[in-house]
Amino acid sequence: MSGPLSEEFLPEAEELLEQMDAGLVTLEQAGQAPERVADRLNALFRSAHSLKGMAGMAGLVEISHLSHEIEELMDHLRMGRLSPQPHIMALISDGIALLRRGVVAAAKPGASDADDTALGEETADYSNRIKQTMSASAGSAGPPLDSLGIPARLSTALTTYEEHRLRENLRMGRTVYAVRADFSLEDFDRQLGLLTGRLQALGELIATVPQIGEPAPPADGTQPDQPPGPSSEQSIDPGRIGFELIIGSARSEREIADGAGATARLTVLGRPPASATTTPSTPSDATPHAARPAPHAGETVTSVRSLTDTVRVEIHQLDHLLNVMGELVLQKAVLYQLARELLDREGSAGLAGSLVKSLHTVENRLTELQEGLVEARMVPLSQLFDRLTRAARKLSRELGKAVDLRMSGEETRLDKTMVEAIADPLLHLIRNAMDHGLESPQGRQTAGKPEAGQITLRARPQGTSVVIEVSDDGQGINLPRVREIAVDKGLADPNKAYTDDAIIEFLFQPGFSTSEQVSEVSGRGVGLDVVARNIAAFNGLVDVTTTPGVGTTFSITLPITLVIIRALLVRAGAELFAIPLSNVTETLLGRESDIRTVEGAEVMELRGRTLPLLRLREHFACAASSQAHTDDFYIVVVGSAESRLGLVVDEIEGQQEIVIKTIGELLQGVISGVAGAAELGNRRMILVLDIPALLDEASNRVVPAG
Amino acid sequence: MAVSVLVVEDSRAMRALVVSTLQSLGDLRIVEVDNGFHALKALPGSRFDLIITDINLPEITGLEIVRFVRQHPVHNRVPILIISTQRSEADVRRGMQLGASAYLGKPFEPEQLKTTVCQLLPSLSPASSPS
Repeated sequence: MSGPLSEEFLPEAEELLEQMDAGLVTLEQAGQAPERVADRLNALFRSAHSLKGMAGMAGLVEISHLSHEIEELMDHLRMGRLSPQPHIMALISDGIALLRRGVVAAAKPGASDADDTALGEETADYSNRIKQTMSASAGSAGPPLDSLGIPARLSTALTTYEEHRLRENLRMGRTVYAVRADFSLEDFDRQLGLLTGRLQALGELIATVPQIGEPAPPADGTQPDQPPGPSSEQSIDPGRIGFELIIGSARSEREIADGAGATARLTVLGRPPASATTTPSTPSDATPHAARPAPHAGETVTSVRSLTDTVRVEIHQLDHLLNVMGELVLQKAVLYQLARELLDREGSAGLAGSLVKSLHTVENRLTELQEGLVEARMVPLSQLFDRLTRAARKLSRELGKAVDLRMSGEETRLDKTMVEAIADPLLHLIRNAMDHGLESPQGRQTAGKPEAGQITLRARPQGTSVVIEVSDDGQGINLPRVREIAVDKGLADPNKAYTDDAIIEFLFQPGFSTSEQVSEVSGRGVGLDVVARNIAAFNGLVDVTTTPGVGTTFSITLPITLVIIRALLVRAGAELFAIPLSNVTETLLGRESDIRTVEGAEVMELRGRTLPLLRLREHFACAASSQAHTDDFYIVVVGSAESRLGLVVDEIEGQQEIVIKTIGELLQGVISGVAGAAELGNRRMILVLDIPALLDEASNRVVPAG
Repeated sequence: MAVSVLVVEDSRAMRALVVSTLQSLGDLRIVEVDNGFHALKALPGSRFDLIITDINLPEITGLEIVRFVRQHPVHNRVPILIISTQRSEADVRRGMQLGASAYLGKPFEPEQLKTTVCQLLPSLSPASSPS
C-alpha cells in the first residue's frame, strides 16, 4: 500500500471494525423496536460496505473479499431475507474477528507467509459457511412502488434498501407518510435535525429526499386575501431547500401532523394493504408565492476544504509534546529557585518581585497546557468495553455458559497507550471469570443462583488513578485448592500457614494455573502472572477480593497518565529516591523491635500478613547521613500487581510531580531496581525506584523453604 | 477560472484517494464533503463543473443527491459521476436513470478515474497533467 489511501486506510479500517463490533453488541441487546434493529443492521451493512470498498482500492484482496461476504450477509439481514438469529450473529462476529486479523496483518507487512496461508484458509472456510447460510434464503420483490401509490418524485430516488424499508413498514401494518418541509439554506441542517428528531420519536424515518426549495409561506395574517394561486411547483426559491421525509408509523395522521409542526405539509403515501378504511390523503396545497431573489450573494468557498473539524494525531507526536512539556515544568522549577534566591538577596520590592509574579502566570499557563496535552491523549474506555463485551459474548457461546455482562463507567477516560495495554489483561480476567469463576449451569442451579452468571465490568476514576474492576457472582476462589497446587508446584511450604492474601498471591506466580485441565478458553499459555506483569509495567496495582460462593473481584488501579507522575520522595542515608505514588499503598512509622528475621530475610507483621522488608540504605549502599541516626524509621509499603514490600527509609520528604527520564544504557543493569532518573527543581538528579523489579528481587530472596 | 469539483464520499480513505487523483489532473478547486447534508450545504454558494458522489451515504443518499441536482435550477446541467461498488447494481441503475452522467465501480485504478473525469470535463486533458 502506498499513496494517499494508505495513510487513511488503517485508522479508518480500525474505526469501521470498532463500529461493527459496537453495532453487533447493541444489536444483540434484546427488546428493541423494529426500526432500531433495522437501523443497526443497516449501519453494520454500511461499515462492511465501506471497508470492502477501501480494501479493494488498497489492493487488499483478502480483506475486500471477506468484507464482501459479510456485507452480503448483512444485506440479506437488512433486506429481511434472513432473520438475526444467534447462529447468524455468531457468524458475523467471527467474520469481524477474521477481518480484524486481516487488517492487523495488513498493518505489518513483514508478516510470515504461514500466517497469510492460515488466514487465507480460514477465510475460505468462512466463505463456505456464509454461502451455506445464505443459500436457504431467496430474494423477495413486491409490486412496483407506483402501484402502491408512491409518486415518482420520491420512488425514483429511493435506494433498494430504502424501498425495502418502505415495503416492510406497509407489511407491518403501518402507514407511510411524507412530510414536506422547506427551510432557509442558512440553517436547514439544524431545522431538519429538529424535525427528524420529532418524527423519529413517532416512527421509522425511511428516507430524506431533498427537493428544490419553495418560498416560505407568508406569516399569518400578512396576506389574508391572496387567493390560491398556481401550482407550487412553479415557484422556486433558491435561498431555500425542501425536504420530503418518508416516515413509516402506526400513529394517526393527526399525531404525525402534530409532530411535523405547523409549517410542514403531510401526505399519506400508502396504507397497509389490509387496511379497510382508506381515507383520502391530504396533500395540502402550498401557499403560492412569487420566487424571491436569492438572499445569498457573493458567497465564497475556499478550495479543498473539508467540513469536519477534527484532526488525527499520532500518539508519538503527543508523547514528544508531553516530554517537551515535562522539560518546561522542570525549567520552571529551576527559575523559581533562582527567583527565590534573588528574592532573599534583594527583597520583593524590585525586579525579584516582578519576576516571581511573572513566574506565577507562567506556572498557571503551563499547568493548563499540561492538562490540555494529557487530556488530548485520553480516550473513553467505551470502545474497549464494547470490544470486551463482544469477546465475552463469543466466549459464552463457546463455553455454553449463559452470561449477563454488565458494565458501568465506560465513559471514564484513560491514556490511549494504557487503554491498549490493558485490553489483553482485561480480556484475560473476563475469560478467567467465565471459565473458572462462574459455576457450570448445574452448579448454579444447585447454588440457587440465576442461570446466567453475572460478570460486571466497572470503571471509575479515583483521584489521579482509574480503577477498573472485573467481578463475577461465581463460586469464589477455592483457596485450599490454590494452596494445594502451590505446594505441588513447590511454590508454597506445606507446613506453613498462609493468610488468604498470601494464597491469592500464588495465583500471580509464573507457571501457576488452577484449571485442572487446560481448557480451550483460558488455556492459552498465559497465566495471571502475565496479567500482573502487564499491569505492573504501567505502575498499576491488582487487588483481588473473593468470597466463597459469592464471587470474585479483580480490581486494577492505574495512573491516569504515564509521562508525568506524582512521586513520594524518600531519603535513605544521604540519598534521595523517588517512588511512584501509584505504587505506594501506605506509609508507617517503624521501630527496630518490629522487625523479625525469618529464614535470613527481614520481615514484619502487618495486619496478620507477613510483609517482606528491604532496607534502601543497604540495597543501594547509600552514604551515611550526617543527621543523627535514631531508632525510628519509616516503612513505605509498596505494591505492584498483587505483591507487597516494605521499603525501610530514614525520612519521607514529601510528594512531587516528576518526569521520568531513562538512565543511560551503561548504568542499566548495574543498578537494579531503578526505573530511571528524575530531575528535581534544584537541578539535583535523583533515582526513581522500579518497584516491580524490587518486588521481584525481594521475592527471590525470600524463598519459602521447601 | 479553475475547474471546480464537489466530492461527496463518507470514507476518508476513498476521499483522499479521489482528491489526490483529481489533483494530479491540474489546478482544480476541490470541495470535499463527507455526507449528503454537507453536499446540499456546499451546492448553493458555488458553481461546480463536476460532482462525484458515492451512493451509500448516511441519511441523504447519493441517489437523492443526483435527483436533487438534476432538479436544481442552477446545477441541473452539472455532470455527475457515481462511484460505487458492484454490490449496488440496482442502485447504480437508478442513479443513471435519475440522470447521473457516468459510473465508476470500486475498486478502480486511479487512471480509470482520470480518464472518466477527462471525458466528463473536456477542458482537462490527462496529457497536460504532470502525473
